[in-house]
Amino acid sequence: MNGERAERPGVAGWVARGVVIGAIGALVLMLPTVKGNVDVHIYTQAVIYAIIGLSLNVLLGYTGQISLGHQAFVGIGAFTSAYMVTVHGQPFVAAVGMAMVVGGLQALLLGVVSLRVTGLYFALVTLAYGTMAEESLFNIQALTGGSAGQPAPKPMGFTTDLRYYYLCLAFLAAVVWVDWRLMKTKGGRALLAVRENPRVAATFGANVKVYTLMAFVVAGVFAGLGGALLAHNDTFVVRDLFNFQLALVFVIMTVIGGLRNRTGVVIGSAFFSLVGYFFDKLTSGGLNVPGLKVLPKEYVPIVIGPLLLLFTLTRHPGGVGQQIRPVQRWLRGGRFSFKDTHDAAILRGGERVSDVRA
Amino acid sequence: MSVLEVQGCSIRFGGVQAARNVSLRASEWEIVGVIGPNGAGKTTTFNVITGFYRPDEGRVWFKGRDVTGSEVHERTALGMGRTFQNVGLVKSSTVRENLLTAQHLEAGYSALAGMLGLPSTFAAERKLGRRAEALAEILGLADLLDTRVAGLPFGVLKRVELGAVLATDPDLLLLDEPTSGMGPEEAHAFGATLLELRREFDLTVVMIEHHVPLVAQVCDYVYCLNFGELLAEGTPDEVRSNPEVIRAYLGQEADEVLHEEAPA
Repeated sequence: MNGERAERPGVAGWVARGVVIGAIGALVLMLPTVKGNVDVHIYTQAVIYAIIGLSLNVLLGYTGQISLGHQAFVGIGAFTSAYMVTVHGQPFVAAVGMAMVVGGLQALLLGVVSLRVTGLYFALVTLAYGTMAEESLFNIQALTGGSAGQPAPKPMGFTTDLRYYYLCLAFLAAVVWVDWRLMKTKGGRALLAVRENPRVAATFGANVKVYTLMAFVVAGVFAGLGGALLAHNDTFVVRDLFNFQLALVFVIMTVIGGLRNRTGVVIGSAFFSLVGYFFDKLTSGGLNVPGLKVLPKEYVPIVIGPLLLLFTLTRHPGGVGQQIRPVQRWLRGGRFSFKDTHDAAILRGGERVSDVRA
Repeated sequence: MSVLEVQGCSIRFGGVQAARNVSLRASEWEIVGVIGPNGAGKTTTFNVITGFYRPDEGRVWFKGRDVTGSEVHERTALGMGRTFQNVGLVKSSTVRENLLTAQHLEAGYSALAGMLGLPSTFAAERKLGRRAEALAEILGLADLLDTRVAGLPFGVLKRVELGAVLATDPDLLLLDEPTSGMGPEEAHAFGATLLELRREFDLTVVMIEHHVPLVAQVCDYVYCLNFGELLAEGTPDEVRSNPEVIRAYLGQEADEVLHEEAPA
């Protein structure tokens, strides 16, 4: 581990790394410009899913608390923003800000519960919370427009799908920045200590309760933002979208992406956002495998997800994040090698889901 | 002035009286030893002092302040540092990350400022990093800074833990069996290190220790616990010649152990 630090790449090495980073950046920025309008909307959704994945990663990855009610976190953000814009005529910025505040507050409530109830029991509490939101909160006619839904127009200046895509990309960049700085400073370090050993965290001077609640608020704010962006991407929010199936996809995409690995979570989330759509395209565009067409695209993630999850849990506990670690190391100026990726993952003390705090 | 004062603390878990009317004190710059056979209530007493347990009776005073009702992290903020018998570290993190985590209260910025990435936090982080490196240097851990803690040998872990606790900038150091897993030579060397650290960091030390020669070497005062009660107290020499202590703690082969001298 110390050895690779000593060797730094030469000029050619840095140029090669620059080219790869540039190519990835160009792909993300240019891809939506070469396709038709329908696809842009889907790519935007992938960006928003990445924000939601990072939200869940804060809970599942940093604190070890599972949330099976994340569709409610996201849905509350979506409806808050739509309600502010449509009913109260507020500008987009205020609406999104409010969605983040409300998202943070409702997460804080669950956080208070998590101080008492942990592990599997807490998972059940979140499950009940999600269902409660689905059945009652999202049925409040004034707030959500009932079964008819609530319009959520795109903000001024970002009315085209392409512009809105870049706006969401900017929000994702902000979320990545906050997540990165969180983990590089005292708050993130305290969270990891609390997850692993609350007594040690307290001995080091961290207030265990405060930091647990902080994680929930951060996750809630991210989820509220994701929900608001999702609402305006669809320009219409309907309550049926935020069902338990969505919560499952959120958990699956985060775990497969790789807990505590930012890039992995972003890739995993984007993948699960896109997989249904492209599967549909493939089957309708010539690929003719008997039986495949029967599967509606909404159910693709729920079929592929568990299969990949099984693979992740049994073979590669670090998920996508573990797979791309050699590449990440190379991009940072290290050597490209698969060495110690597996050991490191195991030593990291469980990039595994079974690790939920008991 | 006494830095730590435990006054008549008792605590009971169900039917077990883990500590009964335990009183002890440590004055500034003292190294106080706590000895006693297994299950005598030594670690329980530590847990009462650091705040993991609330005593049923009695009070804990730290630097002239009643901290009986304070939380663990509040006592850390006041200047209590503690090591654990089975090593209190974030095992999945590196040595450097642990030394940074332990500087939680030294950071000088709020968690919010940190996560927003305000410019001042970058400078503060660099400062914490330098302090972590300086501590690692003092404890001979400089080569291990980027090594993950899990998998390090027990003796090294103990040293990393000591570094982490020193990183919290304590005035009082509570060490729970700092030399467990060490041989006599290493334990003796640890004694010298401890005396040096006390000078360098201006510390008062209370330590649970089984190593009689080490206790004799460094301790100014010794308390002996048995079955949750204070059995004897005094200078190391007084305590180890106390017949009660010999009977309770050292058993039949007392004489051999008793008169074993610290290696020169």
